[in-house]
Amino acid sequence: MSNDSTVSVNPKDLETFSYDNVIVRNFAWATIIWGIVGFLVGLIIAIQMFAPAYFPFLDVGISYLSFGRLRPLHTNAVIFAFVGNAIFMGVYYSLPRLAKAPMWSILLSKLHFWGWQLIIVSAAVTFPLGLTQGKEYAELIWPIDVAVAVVWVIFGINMLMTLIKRRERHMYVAIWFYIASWVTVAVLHIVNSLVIPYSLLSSYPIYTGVQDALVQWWYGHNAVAFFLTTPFLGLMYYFLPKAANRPVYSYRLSIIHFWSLIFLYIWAGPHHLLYSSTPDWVQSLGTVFSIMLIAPSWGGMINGLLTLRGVWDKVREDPILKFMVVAITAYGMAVFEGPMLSIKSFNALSHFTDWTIAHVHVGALGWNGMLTFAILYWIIPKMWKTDLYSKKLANLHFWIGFLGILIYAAPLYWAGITQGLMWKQFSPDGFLMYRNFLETVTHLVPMYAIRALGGTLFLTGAIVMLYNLIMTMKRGTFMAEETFKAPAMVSSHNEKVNHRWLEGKPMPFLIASLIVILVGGIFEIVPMQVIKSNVPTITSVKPYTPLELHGRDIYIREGCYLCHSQMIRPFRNETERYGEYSKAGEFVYDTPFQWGSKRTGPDLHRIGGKYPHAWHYQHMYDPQSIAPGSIMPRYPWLLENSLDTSHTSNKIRALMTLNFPYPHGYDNVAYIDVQTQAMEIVEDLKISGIETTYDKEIIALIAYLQRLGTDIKGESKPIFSKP
Amino acid sequence: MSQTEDKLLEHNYDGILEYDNPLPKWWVWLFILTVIWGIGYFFYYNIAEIGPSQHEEYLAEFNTGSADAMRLIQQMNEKWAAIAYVPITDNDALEQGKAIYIKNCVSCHGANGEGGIGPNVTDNYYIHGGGIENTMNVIINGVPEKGMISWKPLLTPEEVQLVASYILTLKGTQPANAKAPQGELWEQ
Repeated sequence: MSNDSTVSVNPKDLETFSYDNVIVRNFAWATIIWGIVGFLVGLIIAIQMFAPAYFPFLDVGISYLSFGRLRPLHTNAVIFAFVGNAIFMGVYYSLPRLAKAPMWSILLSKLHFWGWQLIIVSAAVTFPLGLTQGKEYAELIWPIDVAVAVVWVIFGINMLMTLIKRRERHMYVAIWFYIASWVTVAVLHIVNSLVIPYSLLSSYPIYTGVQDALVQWWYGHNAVAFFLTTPFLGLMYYFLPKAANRPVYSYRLSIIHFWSLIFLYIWAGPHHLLYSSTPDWVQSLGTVFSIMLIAPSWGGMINGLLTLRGVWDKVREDPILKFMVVAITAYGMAVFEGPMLSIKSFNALSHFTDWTIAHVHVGALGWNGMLTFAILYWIIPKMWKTDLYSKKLANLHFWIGFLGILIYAAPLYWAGITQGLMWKQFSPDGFLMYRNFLETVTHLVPMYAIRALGGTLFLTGAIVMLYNLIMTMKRGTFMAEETFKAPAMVSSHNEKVNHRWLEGKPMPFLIASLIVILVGGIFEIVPMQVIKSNVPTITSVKPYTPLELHGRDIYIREGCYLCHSQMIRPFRNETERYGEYSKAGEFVYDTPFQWGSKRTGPDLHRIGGKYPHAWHYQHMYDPQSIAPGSIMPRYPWLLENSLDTSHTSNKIRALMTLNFPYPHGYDNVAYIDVQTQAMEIVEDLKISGIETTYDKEIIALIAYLQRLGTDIKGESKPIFSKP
Repeated sequence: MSQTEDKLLEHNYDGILEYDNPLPKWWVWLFILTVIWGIGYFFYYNIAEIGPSQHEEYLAEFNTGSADAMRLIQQMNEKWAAIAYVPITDNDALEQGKAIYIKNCVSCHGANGEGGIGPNVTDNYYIHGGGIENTMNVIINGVPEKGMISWKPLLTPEEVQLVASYILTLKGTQPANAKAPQGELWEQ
């Protein structure tokens, strides 16, 4: 333990206090356990993507285990459980030591810990049940969203009060990142989670179509920024100089890259919506700000790697530094690749393909995974006052983890580029070369199998770590508290008002970062809400009928949006394949929007009327029977389950508060139309020899799918009964 | 960037020290250039509107775009215009037609044409008329309201001719599980 040696103090003036290691230990355990769970669920869904081709017997048709329900579990577990707990572990360890003050309230620390774990458990229960909001990385249902906000505020109060009660006058760069991350995540979470509940568990977002897409990707992109990136930069700034025992390369670089990073990052969200129905100017902002982000992002990488100058020989020896170097390098690669993918001509090829999946896993496995492992290997021996049980095993973990990342990412890059090119290829006589979408999928199945091997290696590495850390704990003794002495903070007068001054003011610092991150969001989101020309009206577009609405909610429940887009881009190859490209005005009654971000299956925006009802019925029961070689899971339960119509009128009422033009009082008679429309579909199915009843879920889903993308043709004329 | 330039600041945070190194020059230039590029990009596409909008880019793929695309579209149109409504009887060609049928048609019309989601194609009854011309036209244009898709974007004119010819050979084969006849009796 080192002391501040710049000022000599009378020992009598030293105050004694202690750091709480119990909370750090708890978060460390949560990180390890949820990490392994998150990787495991990822491996399961990776296997589901090639299993139908090789092991069809594995598709047992159990709703709770289907890809569309487990995928949100995987992403949320890795982001909010694994990375989230790792952030809290690192903050609860480093913040008191940097502030020279214990965490303000042990009670709040405990509430934070148990609240967060409870949220994770409730996510693990609700996702398999199909309870979801249908927006990526924001799938948690509204009551859990409220709990997230409460726990987040608890964390914030604890952190800020610790800073206010600190003994160290200035806040170190790591703390800047903690503050900015906290305030931004709060803003993102609240704005993107604004909903109108229609039942105890379910709700509709207050935004529709293009607006919802923009808010969602402002959130989604900045969840990557302010949950996966900036808190981890903070952790890097603490644990890297500690582990390497080297001074940080440049304080000035810290200042410049911190402020430029948080200012620019927030604008870049629309790069997830390139060539979509969002207005051109919003898309351009996404591109431009992504490119301008390269230098600020690399600032963190440079400060990290250059801190290691002079100790590269140590890097060869020390597994912790090895993990850190790979983490920082993966970060540097991912934040360069991101801007490249934001250039429209690259995006035209990469978007909707596995390239995106490869890109995010370089970030998640490389940057977040490897840095978390490094911190765990550093922090556990420290708190147990011992050495790591086995450096050999840590090295083994490093190599299989590193290899796992390569074997994970390489086949997906290949798959992404291949599929992107196949979609676009025309034959010499002017036809699409691969007219059947399925041809482009079966081509990739071997790559999906190799990817699962990479995931297996990464998971194995984490289990090796678990063993190594347990053995380390066994040989040491856990210090529940560490006592420390430091003088009280001296208030300084006449300090010049510059950055150094701001580093001594937690609240002004928080407010300054809040203002900086609000600019981009306001500039993009507000004009979209108020300027009508951004979403040109199409008069033939009408709200969904109540039955279609129920079907849409089933579509969301089953996570269809995770494999199917509803966004035909303005490319000749897409309009050849799918039909007219998607227009902004077509989505005004879509809440939540369902544009998707990945096409494992074809786009569905113009699926309406393309196939007979019986085709969908058969296809949902067993996709392979209609499309041999398809890797889509079976949905036999949709043919069995009765449609839950208990919320029909609540749903309509919720949408009427959003000014959907249903007739006045329609909420009271909507149930009649549910039955009428369902009967029509049942009659039609009967002609094709399918006997079923009007109250089955499949009927509602068929109604929704048959409506999709048809309004613009002026053919669909939904009838709404008069109350 | 040699170590002699390093000057330690008087900061000490839990033992962590910081150097007062300047920003790397290349980094500063990278930042400045990307900002200039960004402003230029936004000006070019969205303020001065010199660069094409998304919609203009799309139209360009057809009109003023590459001569290639133009030529291809023209070729395709010529091929559809010159389509021959003649059944092919050559055995090899019928095998090709069968392959197209298996790949695209069996899910609705059955492995042997017995019907399922779609009508039986082996009997003498037709909803939209029998014979090569009607069969080919149904395949090309589809019957969207009945769920038969238009195969024009998915099959070439030759393929339509091949598969229609194959389908005609199924007539009278009386497969198992045949769906009841639909439509009118068709006599040539």
